[in-house]
Parts: sequence; structure tokens; C-alpha cells
Amino acid sequence: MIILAVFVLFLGLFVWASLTGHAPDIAIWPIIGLSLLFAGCFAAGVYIAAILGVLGVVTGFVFSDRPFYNFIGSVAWTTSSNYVLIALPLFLLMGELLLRSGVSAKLYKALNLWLNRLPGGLLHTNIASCAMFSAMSGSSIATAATMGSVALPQFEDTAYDKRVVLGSLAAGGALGSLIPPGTILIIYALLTNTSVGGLYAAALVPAALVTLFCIGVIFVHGLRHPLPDSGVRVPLSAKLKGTVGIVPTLILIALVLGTIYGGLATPTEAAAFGVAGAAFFALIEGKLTLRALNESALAAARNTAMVGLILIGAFVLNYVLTSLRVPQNVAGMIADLPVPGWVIMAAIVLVYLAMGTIMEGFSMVVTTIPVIFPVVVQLGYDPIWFGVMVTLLVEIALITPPDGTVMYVLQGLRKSGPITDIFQGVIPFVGAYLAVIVLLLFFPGLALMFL
Amino acid sequence: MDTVLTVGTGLRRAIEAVAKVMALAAGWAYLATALFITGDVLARKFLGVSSGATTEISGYLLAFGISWSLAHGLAERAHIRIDLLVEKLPLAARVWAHLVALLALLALIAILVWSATNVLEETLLFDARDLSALRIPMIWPQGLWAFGMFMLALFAFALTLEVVLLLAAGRPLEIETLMRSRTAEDESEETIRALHEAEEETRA
Repeated sequence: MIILAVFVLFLGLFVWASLTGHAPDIAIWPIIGLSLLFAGCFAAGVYIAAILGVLGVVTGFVFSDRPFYNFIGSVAWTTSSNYVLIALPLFLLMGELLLRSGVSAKLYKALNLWLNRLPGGLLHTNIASCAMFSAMSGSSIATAATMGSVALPQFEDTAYDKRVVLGSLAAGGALGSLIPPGTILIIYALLTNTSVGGLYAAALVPAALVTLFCIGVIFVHGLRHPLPDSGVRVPLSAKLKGTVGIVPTLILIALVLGTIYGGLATPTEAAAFGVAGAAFFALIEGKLTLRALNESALAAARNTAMVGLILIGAFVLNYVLTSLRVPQNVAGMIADLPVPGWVIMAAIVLVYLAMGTIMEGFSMVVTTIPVIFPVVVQLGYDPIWFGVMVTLLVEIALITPPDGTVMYVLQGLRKSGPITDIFQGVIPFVGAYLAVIVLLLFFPGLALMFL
Repeated sequence: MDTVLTVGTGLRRAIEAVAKVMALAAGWAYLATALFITGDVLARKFLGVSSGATTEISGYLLAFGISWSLAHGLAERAHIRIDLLVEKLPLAARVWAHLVALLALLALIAILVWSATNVLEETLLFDARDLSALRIPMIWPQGLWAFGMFMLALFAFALTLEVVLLLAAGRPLEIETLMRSRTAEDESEETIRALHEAEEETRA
């Protein structure tokens, strides 16, 4: 419903602008007609790729007198064979292999040795282990599933509030897209022609802030609801011994992020190292069976196909719109509106938050960025900074009801109890994410300090 | 009527089986890409040799991977639709929404197949090769890529045919099973199954 209101608001703004003479030189009513058609198809459940691609071609026939259709083939081919995009299936493959590798259980146990004495105890381990797993995997679903399956049994028959347990795991899982190497950032880079490496560098501080704020939420919860002291003291030698379990994770992080940040490898190359590394550790754990390989390959193929088809549709639409100069015109028009830029940015953030309740993050990015991005640039915001913002907003989409994939993964893992437990438990953590968004709005330098 | 429907379902299932094998090949192509890039970087660093076409070859493997798993993606209902409103419709209306979605997808596929054919024709006409050191003839990667699109077209057509026949036969529940979009629950179930399988294998 919110999305509908926002949509009507924008439509009103558009009509008002056209009546007061701010409108660009292309006919406004056909555009409104097409936008309504677009919205109608979305609501009717038409495949997103089909909406984008077919709409692109229809728009081309209505508005363009050039033979734009002759270029669709090469647009589709260059999109499908893009070197930047290769990082996507590779990171997906790495996530699938890690899911089956057993590396995560070791990581969780090792971190728990050090963190269980803090107020909030094991809950901190949830966030910390999710954050570390996210640094190897680009997928929030893989992060939530792997860490959730290791963590949930640890909380059985304990005094921990199960809503906070689930909430912290959902919040930690959602970190998967923000903490490099995230797949959403790759898609954003592809759509906007920005550097994946730059985006990864910019995501570091915001990711650290979200992690800290989530730990803060648990700290406060721990102080308010103290748990009885278990009395168990693990001797230092045992702690140090247990910490060895963290080594595979550290090696993988060094292999992927270390090579990117060190300037030794492109994100695509780093992703390839990651697959090789994940396969190696799965082999050591005895989990690298033919079946595991086949299933990982099939899952990566399916998800890449899903992304690929939508991207092809989006690039066809993008090509037509750009050749008609629509994004440039819309951007110019919005920048000319007699409101300050931050109001428009705030409106954009609200639109994403509203969309996030009904749409899954990736399709949200692909359908909006081609039009929103020129506006943002025209307003003078940094492209890299906006990429981090969008990713944060997508993560919130992953943990807001009713359509938050990460929460369904956790619900599936625990099998009993209502899903509303997770909905309630995650709310304070959504607050932590929102706090970082507000901070980034006021201090863009937080994202840009390492560029 | 029933015979026609049986033939339609059989056709769809047959293409689905082929599509699954193709998607598996696509997934292994990604594994191969990872090994190829890793090997190439290591060789460049330590031996000073490189294929001289890493970017191109991995790009071709990606194009192959994407297009060869498109049909399987459709069969597994992985292509994204916003089903929030559709789910709330009564079954009788929902089946029509499914059909409309399929027809729109067919329109996109028709555009893509037509465009891919154009690309192939042009490549053949100019005997195009890439700019890498290997001067690979473009017809190979582009031919494989276009073939994936044709398979998607074939499968989407068979699926639409089956849905239309089921609609005519008044069997909406089966349409729902075929077309119901993949929910977050489906997605998580699959991930969790993968986890459990990995655990079982350790025990065994």
C-alpha cells in the first residue's frame, strides 16, 4: 500500500511539473500510460524480465523513429558475456560450496570461546560469525542458512529469548550482501558502470557500523535481561586451541578480500580464487562429493540464469530509454524541482523501504537503478556512496515482513513456533540498519574515506 | 482431449529433462571458469605465461552458462515474478494471470530469439573473430549462446501449450502446480536440504 501511495505521489509531482512547464520536451501522457501499464504488469505477476524487455521494445516503437531493434541482439550478447558479471556466478558457487563444507561450524565454535562472557553471551557469536562468514560469501541466504543451522541448536534448552536469537541471526544473515564480496554490489556496478572494487572499499565502514550497532543492540538486551552465570571458565590454552577453527575462514577472507583490497586481483579473479579455496576446504573436510559439486553447480546456474534474464531485459529497456534520453530528462526535471536535494534523496530512501516490503532486493535494484541513478548523480551525490546506500536498503528488505527471504530461511531451520517470533525479534536490528542509513545520509564521508 | 494433453505434458517433461542436463553443464562451466581464471593468474604470476584470452573465454563461458540454464530456471520457477497480489486471487482468476505472465514471457523470448539470430547472421557474414590473442571465431560462443535461447523458447512454448490445454480441460489445480512461483519458503527449504545432506554424508 505504501508503495502505491508513493507511486501516486510521484505521478502527481510529474503531472504538476508538466502543467507548470517544467516538463521535458517529450510527450508526458504516453509516458504516464506506459508507467501505469508497467505497474499493472508488476501487480499481475508477470515475469519481471518480460516486463522490462517487452516494455523496452514497446517504448521504442512508440517513441523512437530509429531502428533501435537492430541493436537488441548485441545488447543481449554484451550483457551475457560481461567480464564483471562473471564474479556473480563464481561468488554464488563459492557460497554453495561453503554451505556444504562445514567451515562454518568451526568458525562458530571458535568465536564462541571468546565472546560468551559478554552481556548477551552467545548472541554476540551470532553476529560476529555471520559477519565473518559474510566476508567470504556474497549471499545473505547462504549466510543465514549456514550460520543459522550451526547456531540454532546451541540455543536449545537455554534461557535465551528465542525472538532475540532469531532476530540476531536474521540481522547477521542480511549482512551477507553488504560485507564484501556482496553480489548486489556487483549488479549495481554493472548497471551504473562504477567500479566493483570501489564499491567494496566504500562498503567497509558502513558494514562495520552495522555490525557494531547490532552488537550494541545485543549488549543492551544482555544488560536488561542478564542470564545466570554458567560458571564455566574455559582455560586459556583450550581457548587458543579452539581458535584454530577460525583459520580456514581467515585464509578464505584473505584469498578473496585480501587480494581485492591489496590490488592484487580484480573482483572476478578474487571470486575465482574463492571458489578454488572453498572447494579445497570442502575437500579437506571430506565434503567435496560429486553430489555436492553437482548440486552447487546447479544452484549457481539457476540463480545466475534468474539474474541474467532480468539483466538482459533491463539492459534492453535501458538501451531504449537512454537512446530516447529519458533518464537524462527525468534527472534534469527532478533536479529543477524547487525542493532541496536531500528531500528527494529522503523520498528515494522511503520508496526503497516501501518497495522492500513487497519485492526481493535484486529485482528492486535492477528495476529502479537505471532511472534513479541519473537523478542521484544529477543531484550531486556520489555514485559509489549511493551504491552502498542501496545495498543497505536492500538488506533491510531482506529482514522486513512479509517478504524477507532471510527470515523464511531461519523459520525453515527451526521448524516449530510462529514466524512472528522472527518478525518481532528482528525489529531492534532493523533499527540498527536504519541508524546507519541516517548516519550515511548526514556523513557521506563514512563510505568514501577509503576511496 | 486427454490424449492431446498427455502428449503436451510428455513434450514439456522431455524438454525439461534436457534443460536440466544443460543447466548442469552450465554450472560446471562456472566451476571450469573459476579453475581457468585461478590457473591463468597463477601461471601469469609464477611462469609468466597466460592464455591471452582470459577475459574473452570467461565471458563466453558466462554467456553459455546463463543461456543454457534459462529453460531449467523456468521449469524450476526461478524467474522472478511479484506474486503478492496473484496469490490473493481466487484460483479461477489466478490461472489467467499465469497465462498472461507466460504470454508476456513468450513475447520477450521471441524478441530475444529474433535478435540472437540476427547476431549469428552478422557474425557469419563477416566471419567475426574476437580481439584476443587467440582470435577465436565468434560463431562458437554465440552459437552456443543462441542455442540456449532456442531451448528456452521451446520449453516456454511447450509450457504455454500445456497450460492452455489444462485450461481448456478445466483442470486449474494442475496449472497452479506448474506455475506457482517459487516462494521464499521453497528457496529456504532447498538450502536447508543441502545442509542436511552435507551432514548426512559426514556421518555415513
